[in-house]
Amino acid sequence: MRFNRFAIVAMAAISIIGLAACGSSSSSSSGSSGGSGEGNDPYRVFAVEPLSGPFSLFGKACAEALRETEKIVNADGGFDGRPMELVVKDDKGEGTEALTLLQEEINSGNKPDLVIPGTTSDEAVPLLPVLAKEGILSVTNASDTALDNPEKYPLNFGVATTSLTIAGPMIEQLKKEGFKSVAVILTDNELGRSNGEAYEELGSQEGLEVAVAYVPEEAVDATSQLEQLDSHNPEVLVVSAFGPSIVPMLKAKEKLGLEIPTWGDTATASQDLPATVGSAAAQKITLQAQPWQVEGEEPSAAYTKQSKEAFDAFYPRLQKAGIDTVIVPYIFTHDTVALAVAGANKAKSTEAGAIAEAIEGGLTPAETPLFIGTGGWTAEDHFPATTAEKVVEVSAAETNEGLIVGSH
Amino acid sequence: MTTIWTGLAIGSVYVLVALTYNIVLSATGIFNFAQAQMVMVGAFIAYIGSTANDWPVPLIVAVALAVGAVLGALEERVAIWPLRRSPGLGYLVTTLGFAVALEGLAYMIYGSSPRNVEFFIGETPFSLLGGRLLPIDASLIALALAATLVLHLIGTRTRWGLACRATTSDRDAAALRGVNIARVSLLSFTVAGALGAALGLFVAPLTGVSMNLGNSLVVYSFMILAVGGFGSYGGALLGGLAIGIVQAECQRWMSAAAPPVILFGILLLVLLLRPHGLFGVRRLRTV
Repeated sequence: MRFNRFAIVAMAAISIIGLAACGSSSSSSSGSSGGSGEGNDPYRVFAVEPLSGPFSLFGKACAEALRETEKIVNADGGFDGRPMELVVKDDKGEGTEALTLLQEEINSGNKPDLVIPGTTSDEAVPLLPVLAKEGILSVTNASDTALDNPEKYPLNFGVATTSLTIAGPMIEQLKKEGFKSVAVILTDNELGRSNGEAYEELGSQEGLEVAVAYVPEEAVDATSQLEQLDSHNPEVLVVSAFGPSIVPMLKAKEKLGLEIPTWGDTATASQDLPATVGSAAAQKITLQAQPWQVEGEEPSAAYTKQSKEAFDAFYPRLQKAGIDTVIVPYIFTHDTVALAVAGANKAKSTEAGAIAEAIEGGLTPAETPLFIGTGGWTAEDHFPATTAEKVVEVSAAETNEGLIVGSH
Repeated sequence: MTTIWTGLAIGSVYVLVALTYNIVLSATGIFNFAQAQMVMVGAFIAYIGSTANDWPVPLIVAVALAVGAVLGALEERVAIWPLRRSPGLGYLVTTLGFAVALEGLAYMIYGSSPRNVEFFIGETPFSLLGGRLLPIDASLIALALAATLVLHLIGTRTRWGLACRATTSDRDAAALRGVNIARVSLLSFTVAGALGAALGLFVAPLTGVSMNLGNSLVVYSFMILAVGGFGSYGGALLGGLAIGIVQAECQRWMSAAAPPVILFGILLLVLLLRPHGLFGVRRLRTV
């Protein structure tokens, strides 16, 4: 009798302990699966940014943008009711370091729900295979065309312009202006080469004669390249350059006395042009820029009322925190999170696949209240569709708190 | 003819930087990896003086000379002097470290965004002998010719030049003959630093000002020294102008990928046929 009573109590105790253990392990494994938390579990956003190294100016700007965006998102209700929890780690601008940090985060038991894979394509590209394998949503502000591959990376989206959406609006506008022969001078690097190919391809499709020439990043002079372009008798010169190489390009145009208009595409507009080439030289260039880059820009066909309101909610926060560079990296980074929030709220789910489907299905301005930039994602194209209608033309006299101050 | 003028101007930039390398080389036998960064420092001084403030040109030049001299002297004391008794090429590492430190300092203060500097003489292009050039182009060509002549005369006709040649020829023998080796080394770095920084005022209007300016100059300057002959001022001038013209012509008539391939091909050919460079001096060494 005693034995039987003892055995029953022991078995009951063991059963209770066993049931309790199973319950706690199942709740911790659902917590670590990422993207499937419930209720008020935080929505984990993991970002790798170049907080040190040669790109740290932009990396720190992006990190600051993410911190301010976190406050806006949480004040607005979060990701389908889940508050945003941000983690930013320094990848020094290196893809290998970014990959190591991502793997550590995944293996830590706190698998992220959303990853912002760095500021540059060098950081983003190596992460995509791992993100695809782990089923983690990612939104990038880098612009390498390799990132736009819905078949291979179905959960990765972009908010910035790629080579085709840099060249596309320019070719479109030049055709509208009546130009037939176009010369394009670009920096001789990966982005420049990609842009140059896009200009040639799209120009050919639109029936324009396009001649391209490349100037090395470390060049002290670009006269020979301009002479090469001039031999094609162009009606307009397009400058597509980011960094010091734009200085010899413009000096060479002055030297040769080329009396043709100069246009700069959105890549050229992404830098502090008056500081780089001088205000007088900058004002001679007609820049294509995103409307939110221009100080005092009002809603128009290029700039929806919703985008302006989202910008007006974000920009003062940046001003308070301090703006150290042009506005472009801040806005693109803000939009990476804003896009994911819009997808989650439309899908009424924080599951990565559901968010991706919601974004691919098209998002209206009303569905993207926090988003500032241009939309147009589809199942075939996970990057925005920028056209000439979505950009503005401006001549930059100076830059003030990250914004272009100029005239139309 | 415009392409020729362009080539001469490009070559003159590299020649002037190579001449400052030669000042240290001909006095100490050391290739100073940080020399091009002195030009970067001078470019930033030109930006501070002309664009950010409105200093008169003589003041900008004076500040650049002073800052360059101090940095050159500091480099010699910190990166070269401690290694004077150690055989080997440790100075390659220490001068490279000094170069990286200067770049890092520029980045900390000014970040990575390039800045603009306008040339103090003016920016209106003009025609000469059927070609177009800017005032900065003409100034660089004239400066390269003048600097080469002056440095060559100093190197061959003065006691200082004799002391430098003695030091590089046989350090111990020179010391025994009363040459102050320490002073030769310190003065050569100081003078090279000063002239390198002053050169920034002329290079900056062409290239803009950025922390990477030194890196863009060092490769072709080294090539010029190798082709012209290490330690030879005349060789640096002829090699530099030739390389500039070849670069400009290749960029005019070929693709962007062609110039480095052709230039390094020329370098290999010269080194195969004349390993000490076109105007370098062949030396005998006891082993």
